[in-house]
Amino acid sequence: MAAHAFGLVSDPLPIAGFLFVMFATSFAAGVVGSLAGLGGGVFLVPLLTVGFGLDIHYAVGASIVSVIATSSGAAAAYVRDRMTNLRIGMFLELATTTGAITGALVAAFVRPQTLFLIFGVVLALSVLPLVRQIGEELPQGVRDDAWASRLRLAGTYPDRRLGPVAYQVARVPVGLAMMWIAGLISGLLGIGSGVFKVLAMDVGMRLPMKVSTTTSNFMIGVTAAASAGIYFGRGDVLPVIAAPVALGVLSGAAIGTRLLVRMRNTTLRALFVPILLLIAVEMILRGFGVRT
Amino acid sequence: MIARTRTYIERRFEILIATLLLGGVGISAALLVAGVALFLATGSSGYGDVTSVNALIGPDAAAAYPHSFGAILRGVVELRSFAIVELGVVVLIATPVVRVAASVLLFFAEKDQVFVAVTVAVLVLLLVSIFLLH
Repeated sequence: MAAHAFGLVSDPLPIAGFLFVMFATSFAAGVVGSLAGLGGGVFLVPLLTVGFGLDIHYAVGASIVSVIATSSGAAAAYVRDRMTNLRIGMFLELATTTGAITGALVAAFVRPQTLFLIFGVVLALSVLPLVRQIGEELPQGVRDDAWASRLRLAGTYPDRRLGPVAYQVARVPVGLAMMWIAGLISGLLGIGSGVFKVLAMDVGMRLPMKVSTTTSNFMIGVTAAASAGIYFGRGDVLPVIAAPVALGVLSGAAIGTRLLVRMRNTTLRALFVPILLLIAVEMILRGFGVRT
Repeated sequence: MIARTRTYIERRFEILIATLLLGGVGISAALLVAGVALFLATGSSGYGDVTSVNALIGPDAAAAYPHSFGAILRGVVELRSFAIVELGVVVLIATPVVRVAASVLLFFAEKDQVFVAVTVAVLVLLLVSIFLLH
């Protein structure tokens, strides 16, 4: 990947070409992001910064807006497919929005190198549990905790291969705490932070993978809106970047969503581990100034 | 074993939410496409002519055009291309907010006081972040 292809270089691409490349890049990020239930930003911010040399603040600003588009587009489809647990999503949004606001406010005081480092570490951390739990589509022996009973969080979802699957919800306080951190990361890095939302529900509350990924997508838009308003008001959402990026991610996510319902959870998880690791290493090297 | 089946209100609400989300994203996408098309056709952001990509992504790029809601709306009426793009972004940010507001109504209709409180709290957090924190 050519570094700084469109950064502040002496021989820039024509504007129409720049818009097209932004669109195409974001389209790819949108397809991959929605397949992983990540929201696209995880792939978008590294592509825009490391790949094209954009200022990380502008990359984050464009990304957080595109994340809303991805989430809303995909969430609409998932809600109709009955895979999303609306009650769980909305309850946990209490934690993610609080975290997102904190993250967006803190981001203004953090150096770009530090953002790269945090980004890389976040990605690397998010890969570990995926490696450890590969193969578990439906957690067994899960019982509602007191919170889940009180809030009536248990549900059923239709699985294409297995038919209707009923599930219960464990360790809600753990999920809530992990969701605050997911929101913090989302607001700080301009990503949907779908990895951490999925982790909170999958590892923390032990929901079936498909419920975790679709409910994560459902929540990402609200989480991102909390910090996007802050970035927008700050002037970090540039029209010439945000427009092609949002449109690209949106159309990419539409394709990815159609693919997701036809794929097995196990296939999905294994696919993203090496990709995420590669991006993590690249971002950490940036954070330490090994790459510029 | 079915742990819990959906109520009629919930099924209707799922359709409403999907429609709201798609509508918001659709309107936003139309505005973004229109803004970009106008920008390419005129070569102007509506806030000065544009000669290079660098001028649009440089350190002071954001200073040239508006971020307040009123100024954006004025720019849209005056057919300034970047104002149209910015309105598209505003609609996108507003879409999840409207979704949460709709959720408040759902739980109110279901007489679920705990979840009315939960969704109202989320709505307040969103409105505070959008209007007060920059």
